[in-house]
Amino acid sequence: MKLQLFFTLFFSVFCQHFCLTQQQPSAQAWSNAPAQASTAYTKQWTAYCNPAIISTVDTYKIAANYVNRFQLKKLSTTSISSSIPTKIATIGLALSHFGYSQYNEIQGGVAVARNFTDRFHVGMQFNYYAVLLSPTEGYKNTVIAQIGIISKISDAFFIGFHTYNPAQTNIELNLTEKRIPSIFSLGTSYHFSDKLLWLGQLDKEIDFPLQWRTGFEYLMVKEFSLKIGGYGNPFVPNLGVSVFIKQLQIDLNFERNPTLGINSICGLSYTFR
Amino acid sequence: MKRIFHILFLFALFSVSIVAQQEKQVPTELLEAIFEQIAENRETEDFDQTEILDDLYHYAQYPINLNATNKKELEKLHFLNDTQIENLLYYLYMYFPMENIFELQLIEGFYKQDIRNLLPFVTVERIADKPTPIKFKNMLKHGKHELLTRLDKGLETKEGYKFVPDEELVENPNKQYIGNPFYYSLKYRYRYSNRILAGVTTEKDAGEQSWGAYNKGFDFYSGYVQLNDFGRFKTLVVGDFSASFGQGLVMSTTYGFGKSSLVLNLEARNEGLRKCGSTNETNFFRGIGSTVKFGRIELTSFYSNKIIDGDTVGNFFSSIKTDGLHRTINDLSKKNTVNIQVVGTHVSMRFEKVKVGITLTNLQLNKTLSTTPYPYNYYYFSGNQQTAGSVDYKIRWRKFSFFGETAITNKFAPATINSLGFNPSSTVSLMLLQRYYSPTYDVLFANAFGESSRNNNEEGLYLGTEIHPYKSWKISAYADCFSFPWLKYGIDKPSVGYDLLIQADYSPKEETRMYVRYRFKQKENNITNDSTTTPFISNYNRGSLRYVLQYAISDKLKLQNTLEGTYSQKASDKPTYGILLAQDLSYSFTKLPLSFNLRYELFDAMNYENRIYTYEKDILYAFSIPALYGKGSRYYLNIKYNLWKNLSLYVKIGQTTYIHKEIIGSGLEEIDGNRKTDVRVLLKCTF
Repeated sequence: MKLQLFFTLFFSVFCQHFCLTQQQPSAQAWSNAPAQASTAYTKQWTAYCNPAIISTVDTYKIAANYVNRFQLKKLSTTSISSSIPTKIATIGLALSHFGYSQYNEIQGGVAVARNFTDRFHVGMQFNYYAVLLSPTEGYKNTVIAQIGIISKISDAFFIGFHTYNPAQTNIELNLTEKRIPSIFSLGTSYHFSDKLLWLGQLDKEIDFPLQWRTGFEYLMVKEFSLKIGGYGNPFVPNLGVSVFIKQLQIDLNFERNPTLGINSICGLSYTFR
Repeated sequence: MKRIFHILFLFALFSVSIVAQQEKQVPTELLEAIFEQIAENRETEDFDQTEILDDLYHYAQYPINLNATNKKELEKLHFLNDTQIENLLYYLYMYFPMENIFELQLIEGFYKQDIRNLLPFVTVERIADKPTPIKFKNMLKHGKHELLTRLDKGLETKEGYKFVPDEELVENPNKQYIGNPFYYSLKYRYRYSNRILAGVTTEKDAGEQSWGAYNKGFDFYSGYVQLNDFGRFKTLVVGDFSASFGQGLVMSTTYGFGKSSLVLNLEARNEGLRKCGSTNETNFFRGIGSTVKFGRIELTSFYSNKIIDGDTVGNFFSSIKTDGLHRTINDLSKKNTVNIQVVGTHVSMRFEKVKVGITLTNLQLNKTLSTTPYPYNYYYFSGNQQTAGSVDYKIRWRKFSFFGETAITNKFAPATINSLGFNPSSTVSLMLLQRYYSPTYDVLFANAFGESSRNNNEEGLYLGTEIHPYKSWKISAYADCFSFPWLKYGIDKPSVGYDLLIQADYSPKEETRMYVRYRFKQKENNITNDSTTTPFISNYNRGSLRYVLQYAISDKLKLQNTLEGTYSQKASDKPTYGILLAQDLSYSFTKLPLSFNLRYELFDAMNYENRIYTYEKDILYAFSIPALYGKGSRYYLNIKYNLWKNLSLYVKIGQTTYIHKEIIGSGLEEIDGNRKTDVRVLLKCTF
């Protein structure tokens, strides 16, 4: 137990002085995990997060997710996702949209993940990504890969690895190129008990400083859990709730950037049993 | 009875280790611990440590029988420190023969991690009543043959391989490499027990010509025959060989560990003569040598006559070319231009707890070495002959051990290195090492412990300790203070510095290991900036913090996470930082003769000073330690596939991708673009 606490603590506090706000593709759906520390968050898969997570559950699931940045409609992302278990592997599907008529991004992905020996999960995802920079240029597109791993070190402790765009694919434009972030994430999750979960995560985009995240999720009653956490420098606090009504799950998360304002994430998912 | 009880208990305790032992794989974390820090100390990613790999791979394949071993053999397991070797030999002396491998736990100084490291390389078997006699029939029947062929290629076209018009080549013939971009080598080795060793090595580097106007065949050929334990001859070697005596103050052409996280492993290893089958084209002797044993006395003598590369002008040359590359007309003009003859002898006398030795060497060059004069190299060796002699010793007394060597050259330049080891308890070990290499001492084949790769102009004091405070924990630390009484390259005044390391290892479970390491070094350096016209001397600080976690999901599946941050600061400039994150995965298939390992890493190091050295697994008998800096990512994939019972294929593909970079490298090595991809293929055949 000491070892696992050490891991999570280490991931949470390592090199805090390196941290700045992370750059992510805008069409990326944000996770409902506390502080968006989704890499080792095995409870729920969100589109474009660690694809290995989809093999940690063996039920059909559909989900919708809405992200609103700084209370501006034009900076919102809408996504839908689904996970479909099969005999060989679990398939994940995701589709998202960001922006408005003058600038928008569309991303669609197919993930395949497999569970090996219940202690090791591997997933791979390929996304079609298209961006409309201006009506004159039209859509430019490319294919982006994602790879993820979840390792179960003990019943209570998980380590996750996720990389988005490891091949550093970019979009060539007429005069320049649009850089698509290449992100390396390492995360841990530690279950103090069935009710209390602690997450820690380090994210590194090649061209941006290292970013840490940490958060807790507490299942207050069977139908309701509270999430609290934060990330980055300047610190962005994150607060959220999940409501469970039979197979339906409703997630609401809010975070406050000290400079730019409030972001809200709203999720709805249904599990077929 | 008590011993039997212990053994039964440990048998149960180590039942998992049996499985691990059957794997017989070289633990790469050992190689990583050794090589990464050598690369960092030498500030180069290009150094040859083939002999270490040869030893480890050999013993992984043919483990040492502890009931029939000796100190020299155990010294080849480089992760064991001197005290552990002595304790193991003492245990064998007291309780010979060992009944099974689990007795290792009973030996003082052997902790769980040490035993885990040792298991792939040792076995416990009964000694055969009569050794197999050396007969031609037995040599054919029991001898092991190994044939290795390797091919490397960079996938991007470098500047040196691009088309250059003839007119331009006439004007500047060095604008293009003379050969193709393939590297290939061929090695054949024969081993009969440990008694007869023979081998041939050939190599062509990328860019060297294999068949054409400038060269026909391989660029480098090497061969050896070594016989061990034939009558009075302990060793007889003909062909290419290496020689090491004492602490390497006069002579050592084998590796030296220097400072590493194996903080107690400072003593020079592999004393004497040994064959050299490496593709290193410089650091070996070519001739004949032998070690003869007369009771307690061993007499080693050798003679070497070799042609080396140098930039000669008339009867003079200013430096020895050591990279072994002959890719341009300019390189070829330096090839095989200087003849070097070396004769050496070493006499040693061994008592129960004391060993003393005397070394005397002389080298003759057919041309005069005359370095371009600068203040920093004022005392460097120049001329065409050099003689050096030394006295070395090793003493073991109770909880103390001493070793050292004191040397002098024909110009009366002195040098000395002395060490004291002390084990106050079974959980604490200390090592103190002092060295003084005068500015005038500069012996061409010296390779003793030091801050600099050249054993001259250095004084220093090293204190290392290893503590096992609790079960599963190990703390290693050293502090090394050094000074350079004369100028050095890049330091225009006498200077001082220090180097600190602390590492905590924790192995909570059989399959889980982690360590945190912090290293800090301060040196003085020439500093230039926009506000000064001449360099000034100021402190240069460099620190690194690393965390590594290794865990196994099963016997077949292993993972590793690495986080490393570096920091550097010159004078009063702002500090700069670097960071690296890496994920490793290795897997061996059960139903297929296939195994692979892969790594994906992302690095962001502001400049060269923040570079991060990372050990990479590689094809058989190879390793690489790229120094990563700039911003980018790297991945590699190693595959091993057993095509046939005696035929194995090894493939490595590695690619580095940078951002904000449009060219990689410089000169003829320059690549257009931001990606660099390397492919290596090796085929091994044993029969």
